Amino acid sequence: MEKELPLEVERKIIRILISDLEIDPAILSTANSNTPLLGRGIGLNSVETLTLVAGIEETFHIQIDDADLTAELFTTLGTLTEFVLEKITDRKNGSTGADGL
Amino acid sequence: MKTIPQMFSSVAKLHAKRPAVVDGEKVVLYEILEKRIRTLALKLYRMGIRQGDRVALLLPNGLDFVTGYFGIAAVGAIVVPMNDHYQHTELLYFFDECGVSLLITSRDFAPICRQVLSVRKSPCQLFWAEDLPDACESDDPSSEDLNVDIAQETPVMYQFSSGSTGRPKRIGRTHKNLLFELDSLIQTLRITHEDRFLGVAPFSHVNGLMRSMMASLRAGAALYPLARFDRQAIAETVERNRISIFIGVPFMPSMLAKSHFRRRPDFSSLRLCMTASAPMPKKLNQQFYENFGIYVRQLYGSTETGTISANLGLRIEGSLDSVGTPIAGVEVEVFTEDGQIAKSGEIGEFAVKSEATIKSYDGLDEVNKEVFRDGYFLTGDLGKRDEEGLLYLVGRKKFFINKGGYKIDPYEIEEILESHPRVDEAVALGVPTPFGDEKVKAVIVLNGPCTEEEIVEYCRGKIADFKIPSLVEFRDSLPKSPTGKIRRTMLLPGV
Repeated sequence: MEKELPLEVERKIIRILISDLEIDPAILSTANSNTPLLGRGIGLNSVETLTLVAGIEETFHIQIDDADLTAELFTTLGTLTEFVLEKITDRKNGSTGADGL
Repeated sequence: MKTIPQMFSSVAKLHAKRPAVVDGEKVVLYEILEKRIRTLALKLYRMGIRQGDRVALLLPNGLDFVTGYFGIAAVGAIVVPMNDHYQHTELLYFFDECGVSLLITSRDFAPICRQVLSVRKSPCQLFWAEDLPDACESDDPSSEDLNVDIAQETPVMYQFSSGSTGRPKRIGRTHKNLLFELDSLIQTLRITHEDRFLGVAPFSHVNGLMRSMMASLRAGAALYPLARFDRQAIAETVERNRISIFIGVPFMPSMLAKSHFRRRPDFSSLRLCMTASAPMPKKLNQQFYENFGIYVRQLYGSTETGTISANLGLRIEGSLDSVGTPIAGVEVEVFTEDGQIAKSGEIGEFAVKSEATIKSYDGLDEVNKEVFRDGYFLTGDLGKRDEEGLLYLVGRKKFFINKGGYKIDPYEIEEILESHPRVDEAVALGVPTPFGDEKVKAVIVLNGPCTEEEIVEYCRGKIADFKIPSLVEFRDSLPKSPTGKIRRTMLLPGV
């Protein structure tokens, strides 16, 4: 299986933000890895971050623990992308991360 | 048993050795919870809190919220539950509107609370939840008597209802209102002390408060509160503790249905999974059923009335959209616009009569005249009752499209549009005309090739001509709120 590149992951996350969260594409047209996802950046609230996570799980076929959903994770598009890449690597290596559900 | 504190004392005596609240690793028996509540009530009394005083509660779901709620009620004060996501301006507005004189909160909220209290003109004391006695080490406060004689018709809590009139309306529900609703819920949902409730819907809102926290404690059941929505925590709590009742909002089971778990959680212990506050999307309900083996049933209620109806029908697959039949002791009538009782299947406004319903809004005489009539509370919700007596919500009064004097319910058009095989989602709107009425516009998300003409042709014969859209717009997606509700206002011209 080919390796996902950070830029591809970033692009797919942006697509989820547009399709699942109805974020105006104009707002996201200038988004890059330094764009904050919370507050004065894209301004996601807690419910929206969960919707985004569900979309990410579906798109990348990974599992994310809600306990990992800290504000730090959503600091920027880049921090989230990095986290998703780690999860993809875990999945490819056959590691499920934490135990349980 | 006339008041909420009396109700809790009587349940606590009957089920003294049973778990009342299981908060993480902390298992608190009814007898211990009662001591904890009495200890808090005495502390509040010593701080000068008396009958009729308003005490705000700003805490997430958990043991401290439960203790705070009943502790405030035990001194005869009025509980003002606050959403723990509220910001400075909101807190200030609600504190002022209710005349809050004490706030029970956690040190986690210290910065925002100090900020609010520093600008507030009226004095307000602070009580930190961290100063509550540990549930297991509580001393026996029974030596001191609070000596409070509370009247059944006085408010036990203030909540707020958003409405078309602008600012949120304050709603004071009495001890009598709440006790009536709780007994109706217990009778209708057949709740017993053997039940185990998941408490994940916010206790600060009527849904989580009445249908999880209060119903559980009224029945002598066990309550498993969760401070926030966490899919793995929900799944683990349900599975490990054999939770039997999960009442939330549609967003919760929808997210669980969509989630990728490492292994499928065992939800076989659930005998009731219900949602309220918004419609549960049918497709996600089906997905939830396929994943977990239980359908999500719908409840209907409002802050003013408490719970109105519940769908407990045996043939649930065929009535997933229904909010069921009125719960015990609640009367629902459907009134047409000219004040007549609607026929079966005819759409009208739901009106509710029950002892759980408030009698008026405080200080809003004009609104009271409009919505409280002949013993009924007019909900503003539009719906119908089918021949089997099942209630269906179809919209809100304000969403009518006025076409040449005909009032058209947009949901009726949307139902037809969405039955077209090429239509994924549709919204019907009223677009103003120069003649003072509106024309019907359809905004549609397609899942395959289709033309405007085909849509219009498809509607012919299925709905009256005046309901057929004269404008059709295709979009890639519809604007939605984070909980999946379509943002109709964003589709209006000029937005």
